[in-house]
Amino acid sequence: MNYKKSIKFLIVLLLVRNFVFSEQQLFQQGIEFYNKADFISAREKFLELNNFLSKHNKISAEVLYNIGCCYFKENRLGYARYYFELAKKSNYHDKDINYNLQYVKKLTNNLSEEGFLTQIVNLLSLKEIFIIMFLFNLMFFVSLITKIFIDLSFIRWIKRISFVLFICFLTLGILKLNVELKMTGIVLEPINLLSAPEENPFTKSVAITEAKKVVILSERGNYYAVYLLQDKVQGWIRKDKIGVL
Amino acid sequence: MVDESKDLVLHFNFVKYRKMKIKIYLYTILLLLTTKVFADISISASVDKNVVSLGEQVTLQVVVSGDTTNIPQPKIPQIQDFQIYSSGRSQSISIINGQVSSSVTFTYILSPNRIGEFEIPPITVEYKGKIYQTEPIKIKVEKSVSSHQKAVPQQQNVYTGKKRGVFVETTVDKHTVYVNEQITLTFKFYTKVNLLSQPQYSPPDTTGFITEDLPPQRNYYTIIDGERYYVSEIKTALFPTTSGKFVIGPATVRCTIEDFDIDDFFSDSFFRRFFSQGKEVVLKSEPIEIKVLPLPQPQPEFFSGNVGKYKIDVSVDKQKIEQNESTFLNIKISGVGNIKSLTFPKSLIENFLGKNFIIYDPITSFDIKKENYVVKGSKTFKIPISVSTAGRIVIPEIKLVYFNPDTKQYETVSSLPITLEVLPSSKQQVIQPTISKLQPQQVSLEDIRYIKTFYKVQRKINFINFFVVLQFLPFLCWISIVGYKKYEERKIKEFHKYRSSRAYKNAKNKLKNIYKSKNVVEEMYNVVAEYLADKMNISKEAVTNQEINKLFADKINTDVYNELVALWEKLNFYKFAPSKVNLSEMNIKEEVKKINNILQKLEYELQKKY
Repeated sequence: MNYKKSIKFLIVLLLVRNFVFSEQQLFQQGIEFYNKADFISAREKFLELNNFLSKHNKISAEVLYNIGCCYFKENRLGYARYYFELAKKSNYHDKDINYNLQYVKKLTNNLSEEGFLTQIVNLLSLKEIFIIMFLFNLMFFVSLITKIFIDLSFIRWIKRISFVLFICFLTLGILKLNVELKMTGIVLEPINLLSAPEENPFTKSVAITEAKKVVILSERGNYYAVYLLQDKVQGWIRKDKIGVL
Repeated sequence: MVDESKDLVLHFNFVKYRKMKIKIYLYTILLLLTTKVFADISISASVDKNVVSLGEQVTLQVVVSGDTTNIPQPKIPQIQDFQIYSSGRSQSISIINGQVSSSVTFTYILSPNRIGEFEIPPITVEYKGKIYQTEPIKIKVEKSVSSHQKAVPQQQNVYTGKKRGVFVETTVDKHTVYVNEQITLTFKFYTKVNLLSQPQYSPPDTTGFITEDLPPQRNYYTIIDGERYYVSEIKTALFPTTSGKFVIGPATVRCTIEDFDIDDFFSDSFFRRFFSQGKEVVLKSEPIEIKVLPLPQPQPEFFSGNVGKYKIDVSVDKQKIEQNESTFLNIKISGVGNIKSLTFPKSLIENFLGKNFIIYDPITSFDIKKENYVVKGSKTFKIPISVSTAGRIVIPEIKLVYFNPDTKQYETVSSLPITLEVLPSSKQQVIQPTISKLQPQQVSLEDIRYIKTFYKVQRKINFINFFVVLQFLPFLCWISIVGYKKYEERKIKEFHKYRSSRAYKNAKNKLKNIYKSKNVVEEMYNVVAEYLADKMNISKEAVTNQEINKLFADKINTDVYNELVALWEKLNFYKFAPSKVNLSEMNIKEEVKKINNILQKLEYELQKKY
């Protein structure tokens, strides 16, 4: 019986090791290629690792960040921004991710695509807003409960302050949720913004540059109806030129 | 018997061993599978027709798809009796949440050399050491249809003239141009009859030119030979890439028109138009010959092939920088010409700036406008530069030399010099030793940050629902506590009511457990006394016949009252004269039942009253 159990354990261990080893190997190979300035091969390795993680419902901000760096070195800023944005979604306050993302936005003249309110809302991630909101919510109700037993003036103050802050963060949370629930994407390559969801000589078009952030409004066939945040215009773009966030 | 049991044990062990072996095999297969879980690809091939006439062409499409962006090229085997030409490739990539899946379609044109039945052997593609292949495809080549037979239907449907009320025309603004000079190709679709379908436009073959659409499409009416035509006009900008003679092929429009002869108004066919389904026609324009002249020789210094009319603006993001700190040098070239193909090589920039500057690879962006059907706009070259020595450093004037086709001369425009104030470095330069050896370009503080050398994996979880539910938790706790507190307060405030409401429940519970008591008779007295005390809100000892009379006589049914009084007197007798009670003759169960019945009736009567 023990013999059987130990074989099972060994096989499971071997399976786990095989997974971890393969992942690690891909990551290390990616770094080696990057250091040798072979950014295409490095990107391939990181992408392979990312696809593998996605299949197992996992995500790694660092892998996404590295893919973004490789694309940047290839001067494909649309893809670079897309992967930095994805990395930011997983690790909101990472300094490197934010620095590189701002850098790409600066290079592609997309720094003013967010309004003042959106900038305020984007200071914290949705998760953080929810946690802070919960803490003030808890503080407010704890002070209410305490007041039932002991009515002290400082508890009354805590109650008032925590209520005001709770309402503030509740508003912030609703605004953030509104931003997060919108389907957004990044223009991966320079492309024409079309007036209709088909490209023929009867369709009007405007050339747009890569790395622009868009709000996806609807889809038809191979096209997305999009709203360009920076330029404040609407139109149709081919689906394969948009990276959905 | 012993042998039999031994055999049985052996058989059991054998079965166990076999089961274990199967499990080990399964695990091993799983183990092997895990090494192949990464990117995988698939290949398929198809032809547009399997039966073809000699002289016709077959289109072969090979689709290779997988979850990688580097789709390998398939190997097309030698197909005897066919000539094969590559007709390009089209790629579609979809990226959702960072997961890449791509599909590349390779198109080939096969032209048969002789009649017969042939087979396209499996087409293979090699990916990561593994070979993927398609199924073989059979093609039958038949005798070609005679040229006469073929020509007849074509002549019926293809038009180049102005007959039948529809025609097309292509024109260019210039027939002789220089390399990279704009030619405006105008395609006009004239119609004076009703179209029964949306016209399908096929642009002309423009091999040797870079094309740029010139929206918007214009629609207007015009009079030709006294006839009013509706015109749809499409313009395209063409930029020749090399010198020589080129032909812009015919543009075609396929549409369905009313099938009648407009000149013969009284003919039967005119009246037939009301019942006609229309006729599909293909309209073709005439090809146009273009002569492309080479740029005049000798070409001046700093000329990098730009043709048009431009101006240059140079600026820096920061004029005050520290040693080794980088800033952007922005070279903006704006004007009229092929903006997309404007060049400003790094070597030229190095030549202008000199050795004082460290120059990195430029990043380009362009803004194209097509006002009045002329391609114009600007292209910006953003070049990260840094200076290693402190002091006032001057970025000298930067020259742009271009060929102006209007004046037929090379012209030069220059930017103004810019002075940079370079301060001594206040901070230690951050250099990662391993990177600096391999990539000297990476050390700049203004470059993107280095890749991560470690990674953490997290699960994709949708936490929103959890957090929304969590927000209600403190509120629920508060509600519960407030509710409990209110209940307690009410209990104290209205103790009499509370005591009265709980009286029957308490009595019933006690009656249930009465058999456990040592002195059952006394316990029966206690239960009833406590019940009455709770109802009257007095102590148990204060319950007397007078009190019962005072409280219950007027409030309850006389029968119930009499039963209660009788019960109370009997229980008093049991309590105070226990020696006269013969317990062995007494049916305790029956007595308890009686008490319960009376209390139930009493409870009912009191509830009815209030």
